Amino acid sequence: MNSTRNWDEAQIHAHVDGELDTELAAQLEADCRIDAALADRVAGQRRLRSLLARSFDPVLQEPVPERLQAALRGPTGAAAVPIGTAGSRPSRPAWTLREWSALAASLVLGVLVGVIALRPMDTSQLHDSGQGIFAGGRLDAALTRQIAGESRPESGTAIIASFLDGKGRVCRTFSQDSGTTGLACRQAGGWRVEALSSMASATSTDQPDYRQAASTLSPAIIVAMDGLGAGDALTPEQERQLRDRRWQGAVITP
Amino acid sequence: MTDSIALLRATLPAVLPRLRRFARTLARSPADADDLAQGAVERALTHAAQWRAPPVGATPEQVETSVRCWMFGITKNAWIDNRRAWQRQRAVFAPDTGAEHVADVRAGGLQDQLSIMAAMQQLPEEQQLAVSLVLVEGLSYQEAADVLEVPVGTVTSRLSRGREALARMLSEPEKS
Repeated sequence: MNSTRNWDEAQIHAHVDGELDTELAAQLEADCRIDAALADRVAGQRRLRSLLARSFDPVLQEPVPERLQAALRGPTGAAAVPIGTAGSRPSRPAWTLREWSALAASLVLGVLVGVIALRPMDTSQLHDSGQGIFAGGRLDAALTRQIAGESRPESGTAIIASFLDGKGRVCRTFSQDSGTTGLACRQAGGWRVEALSSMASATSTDQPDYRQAASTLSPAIIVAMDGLGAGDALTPEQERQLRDRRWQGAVITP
Repeated sequence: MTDSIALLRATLPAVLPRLRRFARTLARSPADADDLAQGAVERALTHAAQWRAPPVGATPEQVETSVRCWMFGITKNAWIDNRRAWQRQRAVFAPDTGAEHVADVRAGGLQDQLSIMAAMQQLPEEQQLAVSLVLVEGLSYQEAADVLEVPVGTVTSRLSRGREALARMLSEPEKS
């Protein structure tokens, strides 16, 4: 019954996890043979591991759902035009994937820097307030009035979805007839445009289906959403509630 | 860089089953788990250029381990983001509907498995992640520390608290 040493919980855990060095592990095993209480403690930890394995391992045998297989065939990063308050920098040539990746990292940090180069979009729909780029004119009206998925061909803008971001702002993704897709969030001063992506250049010969894809979100916008800590899409009913409250999503008790 | 993206794409299918299992240990339901895994794949492809391929000469196993750990990290981040957004949303809308309910915890084979899934959901986020990565996914402490971006000592202490909490929940079934 006497154990040769005092094994602590951390050593027992490490042993069961295969993290104890060989010599100590052999010693612990030897002690288990003469110390029933120690053997019980080790067996208890093994039982927990095997219970977890029995509960979750069957997932490995399940066929992988088609939607997951389809996700594997999705595109890798695309070019986008980020919008920011970093001042007026000269416009730059098309973004390479490498630059875009660096940008994605900065978006994740919540730092939006970049350039304004909105060729396909009517610039009367945007204005620079000094606090960032805000939606104006028809874009502002569409963001303020429309419910996602609602058909309003005359507005030129379709709202794709709405969600709350990490700061509790209401954010909405949209696409325009011009092929531009974007992301705007409601804050003091109106709808701040956080990202825009132009699909227009991709409507060329090599990707004839791209136009259709503009009704969904470009990867660039999805990355921007990730950077903002986007939550799940709001339901139309939730959107209506928020519209009645003038999109004040931020009134959330902490 | 393009080569590494091709390598990533070629390796991802092999990683999917374990990615689904990892997601299953985190999410509330199998459907949520697949949503999480799918979101992680989409994020990974969007950020594909950020994956650092192992040096030339790495074995296929080493490449797979590298992709798997990277995917686990993305899944972890996506899960944490979703959880926070979901909690916030619950604070705004319908504060008292959709309350979490834990599966009835009773003794018995299948019930044990259901109850451990429910028990996992009761763990604090950081303990749940440590238990998932080490006890279910079989990562080494060092690999888990890399995925979680914390020191090894933090992994072992979270793991230890997670184990204690699970053992307590499983030995003292809740009466409700």
